[in-house]
Amino acid sequence: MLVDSAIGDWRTQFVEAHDEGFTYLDLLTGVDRRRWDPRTGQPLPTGDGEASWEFIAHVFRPSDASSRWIRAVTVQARLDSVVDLYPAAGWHEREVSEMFGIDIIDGTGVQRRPLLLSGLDHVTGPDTYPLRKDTPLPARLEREWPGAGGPDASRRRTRTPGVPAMWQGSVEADREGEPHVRG
Amino acid sequence: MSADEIRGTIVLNAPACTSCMLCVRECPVWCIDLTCHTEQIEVPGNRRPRSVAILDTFTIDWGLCMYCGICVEVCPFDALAWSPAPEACTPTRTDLIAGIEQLTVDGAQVDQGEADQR
Repeated sequence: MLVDSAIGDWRTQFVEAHDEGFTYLDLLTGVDRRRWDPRTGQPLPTGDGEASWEFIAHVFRPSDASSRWIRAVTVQARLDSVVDLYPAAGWHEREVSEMFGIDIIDGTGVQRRPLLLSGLDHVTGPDTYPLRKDTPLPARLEREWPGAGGPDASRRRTRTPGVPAMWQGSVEADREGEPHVRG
Repeated sequence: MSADEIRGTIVLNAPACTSCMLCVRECPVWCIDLTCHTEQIEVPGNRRPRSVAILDTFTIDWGLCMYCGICVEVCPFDALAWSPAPEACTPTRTDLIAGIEQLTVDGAQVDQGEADQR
């Protein structure tokens, strides 16, 4: 598994697939592979050969309905654009860019236009990337876990389930007292 | 379809609830909330009274509930059950938070309803 192969090798896989007749783009998405200390919530440094971001694409060959998976991993949050080969990738790259905070690199150097989250900055805060694992779900931080109480509450020291340690401290109240997510 | 095959809504048999908190803690969407208090019960023959949890309030927020049934499965005292009654339909979202009264089916468990149909 190559690290930092997203710039270069990512496009190479697409060029080869396109040449071999895989002209239909099924999906293009990303995975947040970064890790945090589960107890303290502090980010763990990415070791040698480890990836921070993984990108996956699936292409079909219409002539025989076969398909191929394309994959790349990186340390940096950057990805080459393949929209010149697969126009449908434009939508997927916008989604990856918006949901993971990934820079899409194409010839123009222009960042993809916002897709879904534009106009929600007042709720989620600037630079909120929802599919990053350290982006908290506001509903899980605004509300106290109902399971914290009960007749044995004083004896329990269990972590709240579904709320990772790296989400703590991410929500703050604004002037009006409404909690919102700090980007 | 028999009553044990129908998933309509979830009902509570409050006298059977011991406030063990298992349903509250296992619910994946945090839709169940309960409050309780403890009372001391004198047990003949014991030197110390036994501490017993008494259920005060029990609510299910139907706006959050996803009808997965984990609470019904996990309750060790069968205090929660499926009922063929249709889902709650209310004019406002906050009215979807159902308390003990709304969750109790005519004061009887579902199996009682089955007995009535025979």
